[in-house]
Amino acid sequence: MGLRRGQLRVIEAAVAGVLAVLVLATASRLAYPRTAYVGYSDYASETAAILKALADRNVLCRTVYGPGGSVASDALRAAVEGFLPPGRGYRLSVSRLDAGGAVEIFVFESGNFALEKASSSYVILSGCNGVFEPRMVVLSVSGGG
Amino acid sequence: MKRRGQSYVAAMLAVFAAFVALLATLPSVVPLATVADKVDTALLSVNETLKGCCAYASSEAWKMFYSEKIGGEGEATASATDRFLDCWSTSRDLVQGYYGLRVDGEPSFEHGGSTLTCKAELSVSKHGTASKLKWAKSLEMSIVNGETAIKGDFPHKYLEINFTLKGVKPPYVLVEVYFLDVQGGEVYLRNVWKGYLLPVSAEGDAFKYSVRVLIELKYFAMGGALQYVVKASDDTGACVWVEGGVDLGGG
Repeated sequence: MGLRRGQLRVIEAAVAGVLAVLVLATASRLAYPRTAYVGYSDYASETAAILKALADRNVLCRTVYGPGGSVASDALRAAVEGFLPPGRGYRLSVSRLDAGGAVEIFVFESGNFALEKASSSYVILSGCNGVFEPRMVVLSVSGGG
Repeated sequence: MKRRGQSYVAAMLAVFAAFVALLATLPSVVPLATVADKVDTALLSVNETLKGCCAYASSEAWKMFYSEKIGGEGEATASATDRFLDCWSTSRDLVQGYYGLRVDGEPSFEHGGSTLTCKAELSVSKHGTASKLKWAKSLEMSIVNGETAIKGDFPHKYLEINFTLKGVKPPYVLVEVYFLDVQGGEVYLRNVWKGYLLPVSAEGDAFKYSVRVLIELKYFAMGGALQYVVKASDDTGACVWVEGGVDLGGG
């Protein structure tokens, strides 16, 4: 009987510990929203790697400043999708930057993009093909919707 | 009873401490990874803005050359350098603002028509940690004199221009050929050919290109020498050019 009671107390202690962790995890999630996603969704390095690969090949420059200085949206989307596994949700935007702030001039969001699970990276460009107009490309990637 | 109570408390504390320790490691890993990604993309942004400014300033240098060639108000190449520095200054402020870091160092730009050199040795620092960034871009173009001549039979004579380029990545090389033309007493550069060219061979670190342009009859009527300019741009729009002249002969 004494042994069974001891076992029960160990189980009680474990349950108490788990409850304490749950309280801490909730508090931690409020303070650091990303903490909750560590286990299954952290695509920041993936988005940075995609932007770097596109920049190294000058694809970013040529598509962000397409014909006439406008965004070659189809080519940019195709280039990004070429690096993403099928079914991965993403959001891609291009904004013009000036002293007044940022004005979004192109945005695309895939149907299965889930903002709450997304990680983002951004890169700033000054221009291309003789154009000088700073723009920012933001790529956000999430798991399936 | 007292010993049981102590083991109960000890077990509870041990389980609690283990979970807290596990939880405590998670937030310390994620922000570090995020910071590293941000620094990576910040360096990428510095790199990309330098690339863009180099191309922009070289394009401005071309506009000045063009204007000078047709008898307009020619400006010194230093103006293109000023444009480069203005572009960089704006870009640097944006990078510093959006990434919350500090960029020190002054890049340089030199354009000599057939040569282009953009260089930067910068220090990018955030939270007291500095990363060094070395960046350079250079283009160099030259005519292969012995292989550039007027060929073919009148009236289908063409100008074959052979030139070499260093610092480009084929196949993205846009070539434009201009003839110096006179119309109504006005001198201007007339674009007679434009297109993407593939190299015909590689010579060391340079690529050799060849382009053939049909010479219109009116140039033979004008006689004398045919002045031409060949301009080559890479995939960012950075450009260099060379000037040359060939004797049109008697037709």
